[in-house]
Amino acid sequence: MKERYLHDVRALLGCTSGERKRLISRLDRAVAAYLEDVPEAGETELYANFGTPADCAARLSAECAPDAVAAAKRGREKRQRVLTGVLAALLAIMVGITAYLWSNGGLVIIQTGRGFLKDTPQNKVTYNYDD
Amino acid sequence: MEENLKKALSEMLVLALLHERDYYALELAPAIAERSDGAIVLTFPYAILYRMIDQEYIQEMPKRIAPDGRRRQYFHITDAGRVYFKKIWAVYQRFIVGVDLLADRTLPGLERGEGK
Repeated sequence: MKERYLHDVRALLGCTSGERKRLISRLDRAVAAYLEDVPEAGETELYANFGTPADCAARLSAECAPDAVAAAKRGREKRQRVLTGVLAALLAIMVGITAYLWSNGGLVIIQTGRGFLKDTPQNKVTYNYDD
Repeated sequence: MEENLKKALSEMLVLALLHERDYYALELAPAIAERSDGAIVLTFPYAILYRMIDQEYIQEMPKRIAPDGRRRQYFHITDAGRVYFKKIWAVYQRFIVGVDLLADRTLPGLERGEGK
């Protein structure tokens, strides 16, 4: 429960990675102390004493320097844009390769023992299987 | 507005208690509620305590047996914490004097205790 709570808060923290690590470390100690005092506490009690993950992350984010929060957000958005661009490029390449192979009948001709092609077309590979 | 005010005052209230003696975490909210006649409810005491530990205003003491018979983690105010408490207490005193003056001059008919 503690690890899930910390994970959920960490995911919502809008700080630099250094600040995030410091704040989560501190929250970890606080939650551990609470659970030691109240071992029977469940999620409801945990939320009552620390807030929901969103509330807790919002309070902790308020401790981060606003410039650093904005910079971290810009960095995350840039990484998302780069990742989207790379995936789109890979998809385009795969679509292009598929279209090329489709229009040229593929790269591979599989032949059985009867009816071998005498002249293998260029840019094709033949696999000959004997019956 | 109430939430923002509580947030701002929580550290000061916890330090005020610790100024008197060491407390363990679960004692703080009931003590504050009792001494304020229920007007103040302390939320998130553990988060407040561990933030002040990071700021070196308080420190963890060796665990000891509490009045309820369980071993508890007690917290103690540091010298830096006492200095910080005096500063914020002075700021708070100036603030409430200023608010009272403004209220008297702006809203002379306003009854004290309205909004309860």
